[in-house]
Amino acid sequence: MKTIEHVEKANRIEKTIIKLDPENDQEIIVWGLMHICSHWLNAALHYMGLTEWYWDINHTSFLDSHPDKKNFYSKIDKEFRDSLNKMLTIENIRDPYVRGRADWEPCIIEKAFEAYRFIKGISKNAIAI
Amino acid sequence: MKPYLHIRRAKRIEATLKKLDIEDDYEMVIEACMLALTHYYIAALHAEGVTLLDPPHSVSVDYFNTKPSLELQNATKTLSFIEEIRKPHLRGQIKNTNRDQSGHITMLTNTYTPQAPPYDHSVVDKCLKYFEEGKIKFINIIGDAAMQPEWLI
Repeated sequence: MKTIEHVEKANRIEKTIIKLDPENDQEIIVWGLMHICSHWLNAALHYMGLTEWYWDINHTSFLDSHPDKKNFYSKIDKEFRDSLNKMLTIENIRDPYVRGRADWEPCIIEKAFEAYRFIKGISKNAIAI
Repeated sequence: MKPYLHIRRAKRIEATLKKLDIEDDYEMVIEACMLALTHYYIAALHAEGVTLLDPPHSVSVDYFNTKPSLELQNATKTLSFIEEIRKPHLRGQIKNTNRDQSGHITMLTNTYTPQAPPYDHSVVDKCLKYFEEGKIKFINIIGDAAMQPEWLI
């Protein structure tokens, strides 16, 4: 999708997530944060010309199938690498806590929110919104 | 993961689903339906002995040891529907289709057009209907396997 479409989708999902209760709705909060971050990352990547508007990443693992993987990794700066690592943090929470059996702890949801704030901040700066 | 643990997780997600607005929050309505139904689906797979692993999507057939029953295959169609609608509505990926001269779809392809469709009440309504339908079917298949062993209480 185009940069602006990603931003609109991220903002819509964000409105849903902030209505939910971090103590009782963790699964959907984390799932939503994952989508929000994925949209922000795609928006920034398209804006910076690092990926085409028709080539979106749904998960960080998708980057391995980037048509020009070698050049892509050499072009991204440290801040963006850190953003991708933060995305990985959310993806790693998803498996045990949404798909799996792990019991929720407040620090886990805070970790997901912290990753989301970081990704949104970096991506927003990159596309100057 | 044991069937009762999948059901416990599904029920938590369903409780969140009930808090969401069908229009304002439709993206997460679709996702909550998909996630909760996937937990019921996996519990049904375990109950039938199809797999002990937890496949993340209904297309992950390489996880299977034996073929699911016709009843389970039929119930899985409800989850497959939800999995298909989430791609355009969450990710903005509309599946490309081949059409004949009169405009009827002849084949779904494996390629996507990057575009998010606008909110469509009938789609979300159908998603919720399929979720309820699928849940009942999966629960019937799960049967006693849904019971938490007393020694674990």
